[in-house]
Amino acid sequence: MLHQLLNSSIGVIGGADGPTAVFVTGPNMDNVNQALDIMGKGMLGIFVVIGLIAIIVTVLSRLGNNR
Amino acid sequence: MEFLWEGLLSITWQQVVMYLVGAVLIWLAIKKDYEPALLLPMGFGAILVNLPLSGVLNQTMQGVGETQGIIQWLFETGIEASEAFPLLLFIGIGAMIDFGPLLSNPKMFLFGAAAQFGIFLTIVLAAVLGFDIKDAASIGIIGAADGPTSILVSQVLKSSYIGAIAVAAYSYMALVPIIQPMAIKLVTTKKERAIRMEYRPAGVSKTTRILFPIIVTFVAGLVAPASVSLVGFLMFGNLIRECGVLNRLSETAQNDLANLVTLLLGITISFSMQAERFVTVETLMIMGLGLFAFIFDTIGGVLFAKLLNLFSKSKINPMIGAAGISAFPMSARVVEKMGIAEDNQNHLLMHAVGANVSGQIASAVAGGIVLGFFM
Repeated sequence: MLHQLLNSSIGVIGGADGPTAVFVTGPNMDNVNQALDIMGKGMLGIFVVIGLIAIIVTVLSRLGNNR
Repeated sequence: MEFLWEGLLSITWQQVVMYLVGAVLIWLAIKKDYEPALLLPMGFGAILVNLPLSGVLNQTMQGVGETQGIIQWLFETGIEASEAFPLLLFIGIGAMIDFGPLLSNPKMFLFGAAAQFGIFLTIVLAAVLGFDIKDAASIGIIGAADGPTSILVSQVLKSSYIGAIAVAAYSYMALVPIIQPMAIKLVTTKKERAIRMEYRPAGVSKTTRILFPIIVTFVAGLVAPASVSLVGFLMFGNLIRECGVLNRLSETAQNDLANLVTLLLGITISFSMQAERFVTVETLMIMGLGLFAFIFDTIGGVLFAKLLNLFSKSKINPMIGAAGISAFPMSARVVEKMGIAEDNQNHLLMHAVGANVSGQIASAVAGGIVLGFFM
């Protein structure tokens, strides 16, 4: 893994050329894109689950207090 | 007489490093009281599995064939085959938690969600650093600040770094009182830290307390099915606690079960601390990434509280957001202590406890969501 990192294409950033950098870093970029996808969908998923639970608990509490 | 020296001469320098790692973990557990229930068995286990031809691991002997080692068997049975140890521990944790402060102030739920930000940012950073996506996801879960979740996710994803991940998760949980104040001060002003919050808890009925674990399991199971083993076992423990008719089982889950599983989990996880796998540069990188995850969990929670303050009339002390990580109750205590340091009448403990127990649920959900991406 470290070997891969050291041999990776970080230096190509110095090319100051976006398409070249993307081309050279291809395989690693797949990983990064997947990680970004996990980040976006993951945070959304957590807020949906926790938000839903919070709403249900609020409703339950109000119903309980009204009795 | 050669057999007397054979063991000594076959010790590698990597094994010597692991003896030192084991000694440091034992020292942290005894001298610093850092998560002793986990770090001490892990430290001792690190020495045990790294002795040459250690009998706690499977070995092939001349004329006998393969012999079974107890730690390897415990690992293969209790973690690898079924994830039973971390899941059983969740029953005990669920039975220990009083969700009352959260149920009486449901707004606190949101901070549990926001403080998982570090997990996802770390996954991205680990991927950028060249880790395989499954390893990156396992490393990110250190930010769940929840040992059993970290172990379970890294095991299910077959990460080769499970030992380093477990050590990082438990070490940083113990270091929350040092890490969090630093991260909080980085993104808050003195004035913000001194914001007072009134505590007016709404009453929580017994019905709500009983329905809560069932509802959480249902919602998490439907939206993020992969989280259902983690969340389900956590909530099962809580239902035993709250139902009021299983006091003996609740006591057993909180004490005997939790203690027994903790005892076995620590020493079992040391199987993954064998020198050839553990003494690598990647382990150091994982320790760094784990710290990054904890810091950005804290920052994520604090910034979310600040965001809410833009739209809310009654201001929230942004430090409450930091308590949304799962490290319970250390994180809530840190926030209380920092609040008092700014204003000796500023008691934030009950708000922080609400956010902190929300973090317990959110971290398990986060673990399940991360697993869901690979199913």
